[in-house]
Amino acid sequence: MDRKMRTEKRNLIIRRILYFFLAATSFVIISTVRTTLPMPLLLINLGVCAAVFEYDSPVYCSVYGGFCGLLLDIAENTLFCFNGIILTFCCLMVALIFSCFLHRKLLNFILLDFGVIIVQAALHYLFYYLLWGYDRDQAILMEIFIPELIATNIAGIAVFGVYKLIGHFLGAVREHYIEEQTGM
Amino acid sequence: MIYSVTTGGYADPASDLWSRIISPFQRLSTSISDKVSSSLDMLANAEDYYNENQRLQSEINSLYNEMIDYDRLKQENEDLRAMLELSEEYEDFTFSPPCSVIARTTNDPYASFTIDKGYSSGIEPGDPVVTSEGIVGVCYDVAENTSGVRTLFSPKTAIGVYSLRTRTTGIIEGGYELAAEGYCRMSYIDKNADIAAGDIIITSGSASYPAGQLVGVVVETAMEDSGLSMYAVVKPAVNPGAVSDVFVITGFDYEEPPAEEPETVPADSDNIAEETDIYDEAQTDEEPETADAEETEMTEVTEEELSP
Repeated sequence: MDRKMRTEKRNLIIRRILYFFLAATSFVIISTVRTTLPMPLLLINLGVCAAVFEYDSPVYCSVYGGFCGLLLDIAENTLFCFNGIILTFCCLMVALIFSCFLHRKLLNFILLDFGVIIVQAALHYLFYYLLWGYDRDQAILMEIFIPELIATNIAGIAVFGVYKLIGHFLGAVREHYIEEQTGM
Repeated sequence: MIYSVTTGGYADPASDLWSRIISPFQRLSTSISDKVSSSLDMLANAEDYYNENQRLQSEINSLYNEMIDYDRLKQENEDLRAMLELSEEYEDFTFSPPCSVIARTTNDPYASFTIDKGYSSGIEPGDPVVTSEGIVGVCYDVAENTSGVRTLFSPKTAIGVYSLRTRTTGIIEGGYELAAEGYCRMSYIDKNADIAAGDIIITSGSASYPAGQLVGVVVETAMEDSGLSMYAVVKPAVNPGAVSDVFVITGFDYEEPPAEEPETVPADSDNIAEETDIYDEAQTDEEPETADAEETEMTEVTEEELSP
């Protein structure tokens, strides 16, 4: 039992370091890769996915969400903490919703991820385009924000897969241990 | 045999015929022997060849590295040369060190980007960002070692410009649809102004950015919807979405235009009179010699009249 706890603690540390490494990698990808296609905001998926897989620690979820948000602020050149605050709050909410109401399923994740992306995109569009009254701001919504939203949500499926893989090898899933205990 | 001695160095016919028959077999045997010997050689010296191969491989790798270094130095040299040309062309300008584009804003319709120099290199918000080909944008969000660059495509960028051919003035600004096609817009052009496709557009200069920087070329002109002014679609000289190395103009000589005297509304007739005097004095100051001459003449006439 003691050994199992030690392993779980070690896995927890490795897993969380890995999450930060994934966030840094995603930041590099979205801020350097030049493409004509809409670039998915992987950092939102990472924050939400961490909240789904680590919902038993809401503080960690909100801190990690905030970290992803700050990286997104740099990538999108938005006001410092704009996305940080949004993702801190959203990831905390997602963690609480999953801990109280939802199972850790892909469909649930996609729905909540979509919700978070919509909140972020709506606030970004409102404060950075709509309020400034630029010409053809609706075209920006239709041709930039909505494709970005769809691309981000689709990319979320891959991110969920990666997190599930990490959870499988590094014991993120609590049920895994329950099953082992039952097996004993 | 005796005959062959007398042929003057050529083979006698019999020998010639023999050699013709034999030569294919010779060739075949030589090639077989070469192959066999090379195979035996390979087997015998396999270790030597392997070592040689390793040595050559490492040499190739080191040459590749040298090529990469050479390419980097070449790029750096070109950057410095471009900067030198700019410095020679504009002696009153102060440039930042060459800046590299380190990140592009994700999904930004206006192609803004981040450079690797900040206020530690003397860059300030609003400083113009240029290449040797023309202006790219202006700096904002300046940190110690990084700066954001707002390009000509952004609607927040407004730079005073004029047409080199006719001196028609306007403001360069961006917009979503034009930016998507790689163009920007010159607005607030007088509706009767002479401006046409092919006109070169350069900056008119202000306290923030210097005059004479190439902006681009007019592609087409049209009337605004209001009908009060014209606009021109301008193809920027530098595509901001494709630049990788830029310079920032951190300082230049700028002469403030002479400040206009504020107009005052006269409160009563005395003030009008005073103002008229001031106006007269001002006019007198502008043409001092003529005024003095007239005064002298008048004085002389008066003296002549009085003298008898």
